Amino acid sequence: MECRVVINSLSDYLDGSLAAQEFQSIEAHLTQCPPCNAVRVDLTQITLAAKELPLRTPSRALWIRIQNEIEIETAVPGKVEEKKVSWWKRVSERNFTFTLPQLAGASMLAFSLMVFGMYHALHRDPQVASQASSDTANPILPMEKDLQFKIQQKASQLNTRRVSWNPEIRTVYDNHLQRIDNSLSHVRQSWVTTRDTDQQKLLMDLYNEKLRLMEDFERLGK
Amino acid sequence: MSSLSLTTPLALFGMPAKGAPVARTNNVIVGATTTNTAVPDFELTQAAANGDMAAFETLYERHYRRVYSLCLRMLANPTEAEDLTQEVFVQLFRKLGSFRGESQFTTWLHRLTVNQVLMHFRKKGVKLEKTTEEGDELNEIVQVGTDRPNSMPVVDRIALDDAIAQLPPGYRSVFVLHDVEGYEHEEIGKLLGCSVGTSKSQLHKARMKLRGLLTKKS
Repeated sequence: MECRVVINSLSDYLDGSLAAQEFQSIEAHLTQCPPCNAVRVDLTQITLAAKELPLRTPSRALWIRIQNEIEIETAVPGKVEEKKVSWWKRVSERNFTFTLPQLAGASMLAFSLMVFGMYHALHRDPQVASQASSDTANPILPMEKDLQFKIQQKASQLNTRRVSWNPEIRTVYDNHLQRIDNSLSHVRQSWVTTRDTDQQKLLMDLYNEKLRLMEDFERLGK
Repeated sequence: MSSLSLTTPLALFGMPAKGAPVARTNNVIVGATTTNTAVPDFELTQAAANGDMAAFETLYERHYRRVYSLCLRMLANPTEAEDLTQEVFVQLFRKLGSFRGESQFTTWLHRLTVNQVLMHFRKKGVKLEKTTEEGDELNEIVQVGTDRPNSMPVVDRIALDDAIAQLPPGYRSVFVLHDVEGYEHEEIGKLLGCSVGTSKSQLHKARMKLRGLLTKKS
């Protein structure tokens, strides 16, 4: 048996994980080969010494540090449970490794998206573009600007007061407001495309309804 | 004949040597670990989970040196080892409620510690060496057939500790887990995410590298 083969199998030999036949072959070699036997003895000494390594002692302040950290955690109710790590922290602390084909694929995808985006920006339908811009809150009716201004003022007044409201009242108010806003958005969009006078009237009614709702809840808070 | 001798006094596995000093100053434990073993670990975990800090302190007293030693040997950096020991005990406090006593507390705590160390390696981007199951031949380390049977110097366990610190992280992890902590290759494979063959190969390389380092020191 070659010395190199014996050396490479020495750890398995020492840990007793060799088959009986191989074990005997190595043992026979070791009795005849002093250099290999010396390696065996040294490895035995290393493994024995490893089992008897002394325990090491950290600095005295460690317990105080641990105690302080736990105290800070327990001071906040419900924080004793395992800390929830934000997804951003998890992602930022993770080490990503990518293969060359993966990187090439990602670059191609990014390039395709860029070309697609540019193509759509250049070939955009002007009518659709005007519709999209009309979906914003920019005033489009004669009285709309004044109404929007009044609503904005009321909203800022109510926002400071709503903190003191009963949670149920707050929910009712938010739900009503949400419904009116949804209708407003829908009707506004219809008016932009149809220019129908009924839609225009409905739009103004909705603004007034929103204002009334705010005034009602303003009185409630007083 | 090998001339490796072991000269450091025994202070194994949290058991203090006879007459070893235990000094306590304002909740700080210095020297050997406590000998108070009257209350089982499981009872202490239950009490600590209910907010009993004295019980948690007793658990700390019993296990802090073992946890710190494991962290230190795997990281080879005292500052990082202390930070990680702190993290382990804070994690332990958070998870105490989930310990049901199905396994031994020490086993559970050591697994928690090893996982923290491996997580630390991952955060730092430390690559644990991967080798084939057959492993590379150790030409650079082993000088077989040189007829130098007494090449091993006289080393104590402090020298071995220093040599372990010089091992590459992957070899060091496997060596510490197997030869120091007594983990089986199957467990190491699961923890490190490698095969049993790779674990065995890395252990052998670690041992041979240690032999080389200890020989160089002479």
